[in-house]
Amino acid sequence: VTNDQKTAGISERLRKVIAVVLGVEPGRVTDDASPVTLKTWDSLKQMHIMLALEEEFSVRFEDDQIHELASVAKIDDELRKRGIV
Amino acid sequence: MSAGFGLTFHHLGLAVETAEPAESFLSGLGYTIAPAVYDRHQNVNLRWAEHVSMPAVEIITPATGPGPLDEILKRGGAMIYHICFATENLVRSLEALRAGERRVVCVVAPKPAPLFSDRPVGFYLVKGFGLIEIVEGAGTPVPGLHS
Repeated sequence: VTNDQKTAGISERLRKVIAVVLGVEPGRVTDDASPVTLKTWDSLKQMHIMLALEEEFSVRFEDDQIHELASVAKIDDELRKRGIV
Repeated sequence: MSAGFGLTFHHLGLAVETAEPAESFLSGLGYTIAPAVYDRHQNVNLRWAEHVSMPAVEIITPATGPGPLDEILKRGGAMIYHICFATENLVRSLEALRAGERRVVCVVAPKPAPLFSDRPVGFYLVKGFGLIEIVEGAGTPVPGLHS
């Protein structure tokens, strides 16, 4: 498995979790997806997304991060920083 | 810290667009409803509904401008969206709640609550349960109800 394949796998899992929490098709969770692009992504859903991601990736986010990582790009960056990708 | 995280049930939080229908229903059930109190920290209007044998209900309506109910009301109108508990010590209750594997996230850090004599009130999301409010100080007086 190459690093690119691992990255793609993580990205797919990330999108799938977000899609499930928001109740949208995974295809709508694009690279630039955020509360701006998906109207069901509100502040309460944001918290549910982050808690679901904690379970999916066996990580723990700080309370501040749970509020601040409000886009696919920001979450993806954070997962990379943690060496998950 | 006593059993149960030092928490005791305090009230149900009901979010509605306008208070009158909820007031009418609760009055019909035998609730007594206090006049509205504006909470400038949350930018909402609050009405306290009390009953001799049923749980107290806090009726929460939007004030002018953006507020915390905007997203909640957008999802489908009126709903009970939080359960409030009282504690003698908020910090210790949170420590007890967060012990072990339980995941508790601060949604709104404690702020003075005008409805409860400016006692500190915070909101927390308990994973797998939902949104809870915790007010510090037992026997929180409610202005206007029994005066």
